[in-house]
Amino acid sequence: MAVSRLNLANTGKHPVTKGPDFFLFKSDARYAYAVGRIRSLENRYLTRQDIERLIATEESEEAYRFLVEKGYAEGEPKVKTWSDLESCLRIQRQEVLALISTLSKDTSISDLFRERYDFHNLKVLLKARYSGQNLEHLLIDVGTVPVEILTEAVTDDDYRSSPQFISNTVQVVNTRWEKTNNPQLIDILTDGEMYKRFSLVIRPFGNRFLNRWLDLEIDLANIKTLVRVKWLDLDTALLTQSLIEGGSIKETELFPLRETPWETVASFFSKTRYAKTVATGTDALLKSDSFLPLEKMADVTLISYLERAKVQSLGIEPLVAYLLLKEYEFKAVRTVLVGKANHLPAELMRNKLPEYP
Amino acid sequence: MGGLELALFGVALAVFLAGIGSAIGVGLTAQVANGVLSEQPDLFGKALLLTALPGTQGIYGFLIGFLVIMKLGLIGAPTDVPFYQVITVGQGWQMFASCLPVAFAGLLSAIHQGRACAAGVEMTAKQPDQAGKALVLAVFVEFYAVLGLLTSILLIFRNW
Repeated sequence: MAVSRLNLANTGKHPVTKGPDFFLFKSDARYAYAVGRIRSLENRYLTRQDIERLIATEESEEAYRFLVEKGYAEGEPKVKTWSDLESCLRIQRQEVLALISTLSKDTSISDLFRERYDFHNLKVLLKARYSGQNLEHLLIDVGTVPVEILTEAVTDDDYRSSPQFISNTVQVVNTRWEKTNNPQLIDILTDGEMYKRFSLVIRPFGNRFLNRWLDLEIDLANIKTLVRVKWLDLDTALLTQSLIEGGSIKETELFPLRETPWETVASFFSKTRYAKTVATGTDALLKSDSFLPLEKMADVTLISYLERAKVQSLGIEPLVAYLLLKEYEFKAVRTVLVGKANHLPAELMRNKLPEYP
Repeated sequence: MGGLELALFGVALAVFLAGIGSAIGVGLTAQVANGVLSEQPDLFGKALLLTALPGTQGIYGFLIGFLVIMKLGLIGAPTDVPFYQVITVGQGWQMFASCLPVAFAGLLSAIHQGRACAAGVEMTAKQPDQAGKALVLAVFVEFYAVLGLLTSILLIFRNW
């Protein structure tokens, strides 16, 4: 019963059913130069061997030289510690975002991916305010609002100089915080507002590839929340507040799964593109009490979807895919750098590595 | 409208349409090539071949235009009674129709070849050793422009 309802949802406004790439992409000759440039840059993705080599480096200077050789920004002139190397990563991220903004003919879309960092920074600043901790090191200054301005706005609780989506998000978080005082909700509510913002911009843009990507992001976020709430036996109210609207699977279809056996959850998703993700993720969770395989499978689903943009020769899709795939690479590099800074053994670093292209 | 005007209208179509197709095709490939060359300037030679390929349709259109003008006797060695002075309206229509295969086959094949070449340049950026394969695949589109050219030539040089 549940599965048939899900299939109905999949044939609706934003289908996520698998289909040939021919129907997924729409050619846009305005992106001819941009795609040519991106194709060249795609050659510089770090490979698994490169990450292994980074793990094997002994000194931070050696890792720095390696990253620069692989096309990373030169960063601070004097790299002495592993933590200094994060400056390379920050500058590289800024460069990638600036490049995509320059190449994009649709600024609303390229700005949207910078707004992602505004939401991240807002989340960090709100957490810092409510917990009284100093979380400055977690801020990433590549959003549309400079970190100083956002910090000042949160400190003064005055958002008049910030974009509307910032003040809206703060209002939602503040209202809920006063009622519950639950810090976990800051993440959940900010992410929910971020996806609302994404839906607001991407849906009217009418690009199938981006629409499906957004469906995947929201669905996978909801699946992870459902599994977490179910496994940790958290309050059902938390699930109600956490599920994000706008994906291909309606929240009303996910709520009942909170109370059903794990087999029913797997069977519910078995006819969708999330079948393998959910089956592998929940199996591992039941056997080893770890959410990591589910997280990794979700990333694999997203990465393999983004890699389909390789067949699109003209359009915004290769730009978006490059930007997002590069993010996965940055996460992997950062994991190694943090591991190196904390003197973690190589094997542990390998286990902690997130998925990357 | 007389026969001469109709024939010259055909010439104009052959040159304009095939030329427009080539301009679009070459323009598209050149933009992709510029993007690739901004990061990999050493690929210029390979990108050049793929960029030039959609330009051939414009040459075919011009060739047909030139042949029709020759056939009409507007240029070349003078004859006692040049064809353009005696061409009938019916022959004018026939001459006009002779120009259409290269005009339309040139227009559409150049645009689509441009897209094939643009994708070929992208492929070359990732695998420079495979540029030859990209060129061969793009040449398949050329085949249909050549058919248009041959049909136009056969029609122009039939027994009038």
